Amino acid sequence: MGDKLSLRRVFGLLALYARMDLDWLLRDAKLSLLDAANGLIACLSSLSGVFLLAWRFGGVGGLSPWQILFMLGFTATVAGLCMVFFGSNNVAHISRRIGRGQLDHMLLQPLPLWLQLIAEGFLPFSGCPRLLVGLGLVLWSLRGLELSPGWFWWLSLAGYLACAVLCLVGLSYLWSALAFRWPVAFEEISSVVIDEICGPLSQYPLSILPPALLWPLVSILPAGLLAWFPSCILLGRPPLGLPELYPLFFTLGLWALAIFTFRKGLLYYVHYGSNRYTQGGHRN
Amino acid sequence: MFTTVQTVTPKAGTAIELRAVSKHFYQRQPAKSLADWLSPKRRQIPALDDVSFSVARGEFLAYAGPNGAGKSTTIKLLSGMLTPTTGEVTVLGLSPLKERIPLMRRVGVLFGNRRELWSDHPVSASFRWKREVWGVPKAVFDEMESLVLELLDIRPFYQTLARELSLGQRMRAELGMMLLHRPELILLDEPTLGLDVLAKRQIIAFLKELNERDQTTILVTSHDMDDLEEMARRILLLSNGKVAFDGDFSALRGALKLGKKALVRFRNQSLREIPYDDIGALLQELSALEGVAEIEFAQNSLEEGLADLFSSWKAPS
Amino acid sequence: MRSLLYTAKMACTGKLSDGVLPILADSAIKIIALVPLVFLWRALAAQGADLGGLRLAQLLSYSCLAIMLERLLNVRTFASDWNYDGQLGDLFHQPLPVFWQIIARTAGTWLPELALFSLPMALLLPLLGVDMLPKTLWFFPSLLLTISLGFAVDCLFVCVSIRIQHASYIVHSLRFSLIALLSGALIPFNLLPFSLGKVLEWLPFGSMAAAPLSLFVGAGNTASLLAAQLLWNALLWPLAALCFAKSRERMVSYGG
Repeated sequence: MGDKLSLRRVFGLLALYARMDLDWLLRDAKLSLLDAANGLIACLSSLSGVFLLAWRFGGVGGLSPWQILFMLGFTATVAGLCMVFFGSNNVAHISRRIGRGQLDHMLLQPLPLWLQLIAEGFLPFSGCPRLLVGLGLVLWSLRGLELSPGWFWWLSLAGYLACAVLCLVGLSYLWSALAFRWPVAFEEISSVVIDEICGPLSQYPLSILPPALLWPLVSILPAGLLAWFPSCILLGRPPLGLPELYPLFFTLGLWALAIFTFRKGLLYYVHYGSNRYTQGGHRN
Repeated sequence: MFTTVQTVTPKAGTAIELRAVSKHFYQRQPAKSLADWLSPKRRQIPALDDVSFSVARGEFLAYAGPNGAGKSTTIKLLSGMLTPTTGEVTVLGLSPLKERIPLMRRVGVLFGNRRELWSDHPVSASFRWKREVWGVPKAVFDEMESLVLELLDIRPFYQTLARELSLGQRMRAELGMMLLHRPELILLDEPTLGLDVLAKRQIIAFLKELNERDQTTILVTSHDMDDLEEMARRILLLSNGKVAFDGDFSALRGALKLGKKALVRFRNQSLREIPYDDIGALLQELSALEGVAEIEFAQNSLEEGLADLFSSWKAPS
Repeated sequence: MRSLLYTAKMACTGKLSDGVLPILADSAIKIIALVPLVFLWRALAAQGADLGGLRLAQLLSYSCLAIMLERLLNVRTFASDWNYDGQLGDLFHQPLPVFWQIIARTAGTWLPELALFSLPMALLLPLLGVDMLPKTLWFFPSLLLTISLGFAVDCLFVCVSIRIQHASYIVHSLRFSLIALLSGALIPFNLLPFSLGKVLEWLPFGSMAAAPLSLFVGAGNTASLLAAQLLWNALLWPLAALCFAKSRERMVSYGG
C-alpha cells in the first residue's frame, strides 16, 4: 500500500479533494449557483463599504479610490486563496477541529498530519468565487491606475499574496494551539482571528491610524500585512520605513512560532487527550 | 474487588500487548476562592491503573465495564491517539504513537458515536476517499467493497448522501468503510450503540464471520452483554481503570454466582418473584402459597449479575 | 408569560455559564472593529469633506451605538443553527408557542451583553466626548420596531434554510453579507455615493439599523423613517408567520 511520501502523493491527494469538491458542486445545480452567488455577494458586500466611501470622498487615508480598489482586490484575493487552499473541513479554522476533539479522526489516517492539512482544505471549484472577484478587482484597479507593470512586479504580487495567505493561516494555527489546552474557550479562536479581527481590519487603508495603533497592526496583530502594507509597496509607496521584504521575514518568523506552539499543543493532546467531542465540520 | 480469572492463554503471535499501563487525566475543580480561580486545583483521575493484558492474533475480545471504566481510553491508547502516563503499549508489534502511520494501515478503528463518513457526499464517495488516502490496492479494495456491500447490505444506499442515512444504515456504512483496507486488527468502541435489533444482528453476524473466516483480531466494547457474549469468546472486565476479570463467558457466569429465582403467576394475574438458594426451602414456601397458576424457574441474566457487580463497585466499602 | 420569562432567564444564565470572559473577549473584538471606523470618520472630517449633512460628533455616536446595539439591530436567533443540527423540532416538545420560545431564548441571550458591554460603554463614551443621549425620544419606538422587524426577517431566513436543508450555511452567510451592505449599520446612508442611501432607506434592511441610528443622532426624517419601519413590519410579519407555518412539516421531520 503505497507508503512513500512524494510530490506525486501530495498532488494525488489534492486531486482527490478537487474531485470531491467538483462532485459536490455538480450534484445540485441550484445549490452550486446559490453557493457561487453567495461567494460573490459576500465578497462584494464586505468590500463595498470602504470603496463607496473612497469613491464619494475622492480617496481616503492618502490613497486614491483606484488605489483603495487595488488594496481591496488584494485582500479579496488573499481571502480567496485561503478559501481555495484551506477552506474545506475547517483546515484554516483548525481550532474548531481541535476544540471539538476531531483531531482523533486525523490520527487514524495513515498520513502525516501536515500532509492531511495541506490536502484536506483544497476547494478549487466551490472556493474560487472570492478569488475571481479579488483578481478581477486587482486587474480593474490597474486599468484605473493606468499601470502596466512588468514581470517582476507580477512576481512580487504573487510573493506578497503568498506571504499574506501564509501569514493569515500561520496566525490561525498559532492561536489555535491554545485550543489543545482549553478546547471550549478557544474552539472559535481561529474564526475570531481570521474572520472577526484580521479580515475586517485588512479592508481599511490603515494609514488613517496614528502610529501607536499602526505598529501593532504590522507586528502583534498583523492585519496590516494582509493587504494595506503590501499594496502600498506594490503601488510604490512603502510605508513605515520598513524593508520591502518585511512581510516575508515576518511570515517566516510567525510560522516558526506557529509550528513550535502547535507541536507543543499536539504533544499535550496525545498526553492528556480531549474528553470533548462534537460532530460536524470535519467531514463536510 | 472481583476475582481475576485467567482462563484464556494467548496463542502464538500477539496482536495487542499492554504492560503495566496507567493513564491519568486531570479534572479541574470548581473555584472556591480567588486563589483557586487564579490557579485552579486539579484532581487526578486514573482512567487506567497498572493494566496488563495481551490479545492473541485471531482472538475476539469483549472489553466491558461500567461507564468511565477506561474502555475508550484503552482504544485511544491502542490507536495512537493518546500516550500512556506509564507502561508500554504494543499493537501488531508496533508502538502506536511512534509508528502511527504504518500501524494505521493495518488497523481499523470505529467509534460508535463518531462520524468518519463524509456527510455531504454519497457513501460511495467516502469509500473512494478511503481507498486513496489509505492507498488501498485496487484488487483489495474491489474485493472488500463487494464483500461489505453484500454482507452489510449497503448496496441499497450506496449512492445516498451520508447525512440522509438512518442510524443503522450509517453504522453499517461506517463499519464497511473501516474494513476497506482489510485491517488485521479491528478496534470497535460501542459499534451497536443505539441500533435496532435487525441492524445489531447484521453487524454482529458480520463481525463473527470476519473473525472466523479471516482470523481478524477484534477488540470490541459494548454495554450490551448479550451482544458481547454472542460475539466474543473472551471477556475482559474493567473497574475503575483496573482489570477486574479476564476470562471466558462461562467462567464469568460461574464467578458472578448468578442468583436463582422462582417467578410465580397467580390466578388473579398478579406476579411474585422469589429468590432462592435452597430448593427445599423454596418448595416449602411455594406449597404455602394459594391461588398459584404457574411457576417458572430462572437464573439471573449476565446483565443482571453485572449490574449487581457494578453497583457493588460503586458502593462505598 | 412566566414560562417565557423563565426560559429567557435560563438562556441568560446559560450565556454566563462559561463566566464573563467570553463576553469580555467579544466586547474587545467589537471595540477593535470600532477603532478604524472612528479614525476613518476623523480622517474624512480632517479632509474637510461634506459628510452628508452629518457632523463628526454625530458619526461617532452613530458608529458607537451601532456596535453597542449590534445584536438588537440585526436579530439573529438560534433557530437556523438548531435547524442545521436537526434540533428545531425539539421546540415542539414544550407547552409554549414555538416562536415565542425562540423570542424568549434570544432575548435572554442579549441581556448579559447589554449589561456587561453596552451599558458600561454608554456610561464611558460620554467621558471620551461621544454624545450618547438620543436626539429624539422617537428613537425608542423605532428601536422596538427594528427588533420586531429583525425577528420577522430572521424567521424568513430560517424558513429559507429549512427549505434548502443541506446548505443552511449559505443562507446564513448570504444574509449577513446582505445585512452588512444594506442595513446601514456600518456606513451611514448619508455617506454613500450615487444617492444609494435614498434607495436603501426604503428597503427592509434599511429599516432595521439605519432608522433607529439616524433618529438617535438626529439625522433623517422621523416620520418617513418610522413609516417605513411600520410598513415593513406590517408586510413581513404575516409573511413570516405564513412561511413558518408552511415550514413546520420539514422542520419537525428533519433530524428524526
